[in-house]
Order: sequence, then structure tokens, then C-alpha cells
Amino acid sequence: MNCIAKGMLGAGSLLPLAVAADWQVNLEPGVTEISQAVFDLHMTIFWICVAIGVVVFGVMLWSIIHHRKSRGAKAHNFHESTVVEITWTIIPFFILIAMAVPATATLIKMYDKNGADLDIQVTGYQWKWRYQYLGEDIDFFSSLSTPKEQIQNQAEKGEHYLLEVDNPLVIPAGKKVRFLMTANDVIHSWWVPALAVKKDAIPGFINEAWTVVPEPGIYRGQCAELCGKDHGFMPIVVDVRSEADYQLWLAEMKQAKVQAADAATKDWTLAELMEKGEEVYNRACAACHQANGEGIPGAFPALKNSPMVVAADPAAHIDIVLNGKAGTAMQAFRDQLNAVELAAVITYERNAWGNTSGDLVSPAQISELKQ
Amino acid sequence: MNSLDQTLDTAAEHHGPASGISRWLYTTNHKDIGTLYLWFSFIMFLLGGCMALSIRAELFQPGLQLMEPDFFNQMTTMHGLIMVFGAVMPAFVGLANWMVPLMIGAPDMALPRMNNWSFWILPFAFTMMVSTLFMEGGGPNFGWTFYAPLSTTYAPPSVTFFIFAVHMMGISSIMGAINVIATILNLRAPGMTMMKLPLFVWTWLITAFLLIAVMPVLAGVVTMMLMDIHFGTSFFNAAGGGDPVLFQHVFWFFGHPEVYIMILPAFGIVSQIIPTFARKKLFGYASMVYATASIAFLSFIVWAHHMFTVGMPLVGELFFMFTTMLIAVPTGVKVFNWVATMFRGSMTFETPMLFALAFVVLFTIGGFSGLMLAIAPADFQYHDTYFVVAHFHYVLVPGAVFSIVAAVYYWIPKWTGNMYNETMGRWHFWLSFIGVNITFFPMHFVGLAGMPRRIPDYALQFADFNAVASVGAFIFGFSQLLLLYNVIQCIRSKDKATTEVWESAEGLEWTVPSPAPYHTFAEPPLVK
Amino acid sequence: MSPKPNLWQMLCSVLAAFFGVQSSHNLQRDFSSGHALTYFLLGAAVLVGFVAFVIFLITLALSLAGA
Repeated sequence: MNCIAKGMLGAGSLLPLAVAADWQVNLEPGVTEISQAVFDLHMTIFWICVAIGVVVFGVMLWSIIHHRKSRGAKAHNFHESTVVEITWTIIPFFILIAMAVPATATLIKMYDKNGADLDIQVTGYQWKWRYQYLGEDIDFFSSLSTPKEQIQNQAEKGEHYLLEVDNPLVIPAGKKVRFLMTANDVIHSWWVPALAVKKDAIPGFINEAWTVVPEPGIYRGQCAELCGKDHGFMPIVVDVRSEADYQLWLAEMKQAKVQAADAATKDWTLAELMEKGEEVYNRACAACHQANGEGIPGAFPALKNSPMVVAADPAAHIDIVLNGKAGTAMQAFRDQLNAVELAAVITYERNAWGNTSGDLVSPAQISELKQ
Repeated sequence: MNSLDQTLDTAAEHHGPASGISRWLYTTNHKDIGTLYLWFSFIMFLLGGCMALSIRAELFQPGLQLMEPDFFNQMTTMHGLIMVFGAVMPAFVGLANWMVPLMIGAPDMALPRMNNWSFWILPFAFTMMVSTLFMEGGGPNFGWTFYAPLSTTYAPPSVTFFIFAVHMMGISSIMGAINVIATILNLRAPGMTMMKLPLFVWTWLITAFLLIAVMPVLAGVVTMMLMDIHFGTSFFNAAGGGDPVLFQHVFWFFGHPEVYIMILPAFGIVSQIIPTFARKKLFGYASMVYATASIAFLSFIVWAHHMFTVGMPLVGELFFMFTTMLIAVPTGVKVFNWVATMFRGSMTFETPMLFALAFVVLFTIGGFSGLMLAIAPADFQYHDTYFVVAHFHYVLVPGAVFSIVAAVYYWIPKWTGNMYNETMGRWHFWLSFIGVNITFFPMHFVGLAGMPRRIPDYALQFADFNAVASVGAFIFGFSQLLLLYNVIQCIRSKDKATTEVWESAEGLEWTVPSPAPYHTFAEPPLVK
Repeated sequence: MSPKPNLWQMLCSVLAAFFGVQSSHNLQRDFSSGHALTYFLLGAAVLVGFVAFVIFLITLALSLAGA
């Protein structure tokens, strides 16, 4: 308790009230036809509840004020009236039916997945999203880009703190985009409030959802299903672009892929790989194995002085990074990172934190294994 | 019946309570066991409360200040498990132990030795569960709903201890439920027919049937987890041909009746208290009984409304949406009946009544947000946000917990023989009432604004209301120490309570002296 | 006491339990001369019927909406 009290005092001096002033109290209507329909439903049911509340609490307050003993109220003796009771059962019943009709209509609309212009497979990973554009050969991962220093309160928090990613999902405006949701490890849930799309991404299942966003813009959301340690740190950013800009982006993505393949063929020095490896490590590995390579005992193994990592033959080390370890949180990074990144990060792990294997795993070596 | 009476007669003459620790270890007396349950539940309430406060302290402002995300997840998980299984459920069992025999004119519970056992399992179960926090890899960190595969393949090693702790709690609950049913059906005093049963007894009877129906389902689902983790099965593992969604169906088939297990006895308590302080008979007694039965029935066919986003087919979504909306009808009947009981009564506002009135208002607010959550398309926006957190805390804290506190103030003069301090009771009420609303009302707002639940850190636009909620949580949390003070003060007080205690309380419990003697109704009373 | 309730009256009581409204006169009758098991069985049967009815409603709603 004591440490909590101290924490409170320390926190009090920073007063979050002064940092950001945003007192949003209601759902946002969103930007799609569906999100608008959901918002209307929400407001209707809200006002119905308010009306019922006013009546019920009104009668209650009236009784509390007027039928109190201190005012000399004498208790009456009625305690049953089947007619009254049936009346106040029937009325809510009809209110509910009136509510169920528009709700059913909206739900039917949401379930109409026909006629999609673009299919994107969304895969939840601990703790990032993977977007695969079906038929386009575009496949990338999207993870939190907020720097660690901001989370640890060592730097000022940016405008989109925790709601920013390295590679946003880019979709064209005015097109029906269908999302095929699945997950690689545990259950995640893909949620963008402005689109009113929330669907669980479940390993072994493919769920469908869709959206048509009329106007370009950037919309942010978060994973909604508890998925482990960094559940709070896997945001979603949807970058909606006009058709022309979207085509431009597609071309750029394809270009970048060619360049990455070229980079894998050049010769890399140990120092170059170490530098790149540290950057990749902090992005892809440090969440579990920690920046100091010591892991979290009982949950995530240490890499520092790990027999596998310092072994003379790097084959086992390369294998686990590429293919993961079944039944554990260790993912397969074969598709998540390109050959240069994989080579760099393995080299880094073998030579950082006092690990002194001294050897270099080259991108060419990895490219061969990736074939 | 006759020989039982004689045994108890001789027992009453020759034996008071044993002295020292053995009184509590070996006791088969329903009052002692009720007391044990209530103190146990209070300790768990404070422990779970400390975890809640550490969660709120971390969420006071954005950024990670006090704990790592993994520990934060352990706190949310343990807070939920302890409050549900350690605080609310044992408190209701404790109240049932104390009051059911007194209300139906029975000398004790029907199965006293089993009663002792079902209590003494609990401290061991919870010691084991809490000890996981100190194990390598930490305690359960997958939320109190422990969705697979996060709780199986990806769980810390301590999950096995968690599974066995849940088994033990389940055994305890089932035995407690069997005892309540056996007592109510067999040990009623002559003339205490079913339709004269006080509502607290009625609601507990129905709750006990719910417990027997669903605790084995919970035991089943954790056993399936155990098999997946240690014996190579693949119930919930998609890679082995299993189905992670199956977990959720089985869990919520237990979980939804479970939430009614936590609220039906509360309905019963409030239905005892409001007529007493309104000095007027409960309006629509028969409907209250039938509405309870109705809620119990419906609770078995609504479970998947917790799973609207898992991708059920349209027919499934509609089915669970319609049935869920229907629950509003019998629940509405109850609220209307309470208000009609107050209407044209002659009310006074002692502490139990204050808590009961707050229950009616705040539980109804929780019911409204529940109705909103039932609308499947809107639920896509609410699901797994703080709106849900606000909803279930409104029905559980100013709902279930307030009813338990109201029950304690209402019956404690009968338990201790002394009146509590009314002024302090009011302080406790007002601080709790204000604290609870400051804590949980803003959660509606951040939820609607888009804040997911179970996150240790959040985007800047949620900062203000989170700070407010944290302040409220500390007010609410620390004001519960007043309850402890009031109870101890009442035990030591010199202000003797009368037999009737309250001006117009009705029921057999108000016919025995205050404090209730160690053995009551050795001679069954005659109920006219 | 009151006469034994007939099947129709018992069905009405079970339906009342689903709605949550009942008069104390009927409650008295049910508990003084009815048999608990019949009510349980009737309750379970009505629950099954109710589930079937909701499913029917949904199919109807879906066919009307053409989905």
C-alpha cells in the first residue's frame, strides 16, 4: 500500500488533467454508413433508457420525499395488483420489440459481405498485425511505433501516443473492402471505432468483416481482446486514400520489395549487421526477451549466455528464429522479417550483451534458407 | 424430526460454543460458519480491493509508472477472480448460513458437517491461488474469463494451481448449494409453507439450483484446460483440430448463470429491507418469486451475448440478442415492484435502507447499460471496452456488494446483540455512494470514446476521465475501512438491540432474542 | 385447500413464471396442491418451445428481409 501511496503522490505532481483536455463522453458517429446506423441505434436505446429512468426514478424520488415517516406519512396497505403488474410487463415488452426491429435490420446489413472490391487478410500476432492483400502480393506487418521512452515517461508523449504504427493499413476510399480475420497465436480482436468494425481474430478460424469508407482519412483503433502482455500496445491505423493515391502506394510497395531483395545479395560487415540488428531486435524481439537479452524468468527465456545462442554452430539458432517453437510464444519470423533483417538480428543476438560467438550470419545464407 | 429435536435440545442445554481456535475449526453451527464465511469474504474483499487500487493507480495517468504490463494483467485477473469467487459468493453463502435457518425456523443447516467442510476448503483454495503470484512466471494473467489459448498454450506454468483452486472453489460452492436446498426443502418450521418463505430464502433456493447446474460446467472447462496443458489433448487448440471458441461457449454457459448467482440473493436482500423501512408489505410477492424463476430460466439461453464479436452466424446473433433483451422484462418487474413497495409507504432511512435504495437506482443504471449491450450491432462498438467494465461494475459493486453491506447493517444487531453507530453508518454510505459513482460513471465515457478494457496504458484522450475514476476508486476503497470500524464498534458496543431491532420488521429471525442464542429453534416455532 | 390445478392452469403458471408476473392466489394454489416435478417438466418443455419459437421468429425476420 505504501508504495502505491507514494506513486500516487508522484503522479499527482504531473496532473494528467493539465496534459490533455478531452472530455469525450459519447460514441463517435464514425465515417461509414454502418457506423452511422450503429450510432443511431445507440442513441435511440440510450434515450429510451433515459425515459424509463426518469419515470422509475421520478416515482421513487417522489415516494422518498413525500412518503416518509418524518412527514407523518402513514403506510397504505396495498401489496398486489395483477392488472398493474401485467401492464408494466407488457409496455416494456413492446418497447423491446420496437428496439429489436431496427437492430435486426442493421445487423442484417452488417452481415452482407457480398460484392467486395478488395480482400485483405488480417492476422493477429502477439503483438502486431499482419496485412496480406489477396491477389496483390503485398504482405506486411504493422506494429506500434510509439518510442519506449514515451511509454516509460522519459520523453513527452506525442499526439497519437499508443495509436501510431510503423506500417498502416492502406485502403482505397469508396470501395468495399472485406477483411478476413485470423490469428497466429491467441485470440485478438480487430477494432476501428470510426468504421464500427470489431471482429475477433481467432487462431484456426477465418472471420469476415467489411467496410466502405467514403472519404480519405486516417482512422485509429486498438486490439480489443486481451492477448497477453502487450495487449495494450498493438494499435491499428487505417490510412484511407483516394483511388489514385492507393494505386501509387501499391506501386511503391512493390518497388520496395525488389530493393529489399537486392540488399540481401550484397556483402555486409559485422558492424553493419550489428547496427541493423540492434534496431530490428528492439522492434521485434525486445518485448519478450527484453532489451538486455535477459528475458523474463518463467515466461520468456534469456538470450544472454543462452547455450543455443552462443553455440559454435548457428543452425539451431537460425532455425528457431525462422520457424518459431511450437506450443510457445516464440513466433516464426520467416515471413515477418526480410533476409537482411533476419541475418542482422541473429548476428546481433550472437554478439551482444557479452555473447561472444564472434561469427556473422550473412543475409545470403538466410535467403537460401528462406527459399 | 423428533430425534433431531431431542438431540439439539440436549446439545443446547449442555454445550455452548467450544472455546479457542477449535470452536472455529470444528464448528458445525450455522451461525459460526456464517460468521467465518463473512469474515473470509471481507478479507478477500480488501485483498481484491488492494489489487483494484493498484490497477487504478497505474491507470491514473498515461504511461507505465508503477508496474509492468504482465503484472498489470495478473492484477486484473486476480482482482476479478477474488472478487467473484472470494468476496461476493462467500458473502452470500455466509448470509444464507446465518439467516436461512433463522428465517424458516430451522435449528441449523441440514448438513452441518458438510457445511464446515465447504467453508474450510475456501481458505486453502485461495491461499493456493494467491500464492501463484509469487511463482516463477507469475500468476494467472489471462483475465478472469481465462480465454483459451491464452490460458492454455500461452499461460504461465502456475495455471495448473489456478485450475485446482477453481476446482476447490467449485466443490465448496456445490456443497454450500446442496446444503441450502436441503435446508429449505426439509427443515422449514410447521406452517412455513413455500409461499410464506421470505424472498431472501426464495432467491437463495433458486440460486442454489443455478449453482448446482453450472459449477460442474466450470469444473468441466478447467479440466479440459488441464488436459490440453498436460495430457496432450486439443480441446481448444486449433493446431490440433480443436476449437478456441468452444472454450468461450462452455465458459459463458457457466458464466452467465454465474452473474445471476451473484445478483439473485441481492434481489432477495433488498426485498427484505425495503418493506421493513417502508413499513409496507412487499408489492407483488408472487411476481417477485416468479420473476426470479424467470430470470433463472432465461439465464441458460443467453450466454453467447458475451461473444457477439466471435463471428457467430447471423441466426445465432439474432437469437441471443432477442433472448437477452427479454431478460429486461422480469428484471423490470422486480424494480417496479420495489418502487411500488416504497410508494405510499412510511419510509425511514437507516443505513440498510440507504444502501438498499442506492442498490435499486444504481443496479437499474447497470441494467440500462446491459440493455444497450444486448443490442448486437451496438455491442460491436461496446464489446471489450470500458463501457462493459462500467456496466458490470454497476451491477456488481453498487449492486451485489451494496446489497451485502445493506444486509450486514440490517442483521448485525441480531448477530451481535448491539446496535451499530448510525452516524458512522451514514458516513460509510455516503462516502461509498459518492466514491462508487466517481469511479465507475466515467468508465462509461472512456468506453464509448474507445478505450479497450484490460490495458495498462492508454492514449491521451482518455487521460482525464481515468484520473477521475482513480480518485473515486481511492475514496471508495478507503471508505470500506469504515465498514470494518463499524462492525468492530458494533461488536463492542454497549447499545443493546431489542429482539425486534427494527420498528416493523417481519419474519422469524426477529422473534429470537438479540444476539441470537447459539442454538435457536430447538423447538420449532409455529408459523400461522 | 384449493383444488388440484389442471394442466391448463399449470401451463399458465409456467408461462407466468416466464413473464415474471403472478398473483398470490395462483401461487398459493400451485404450491399447496401442485407437484413440483410436473412444474419442472412443464417448465423445461416450455423452455424448449420458447427456444423453437425464437428461432422461428428469426427465420421469419430473415426471410422478410431477404437475407
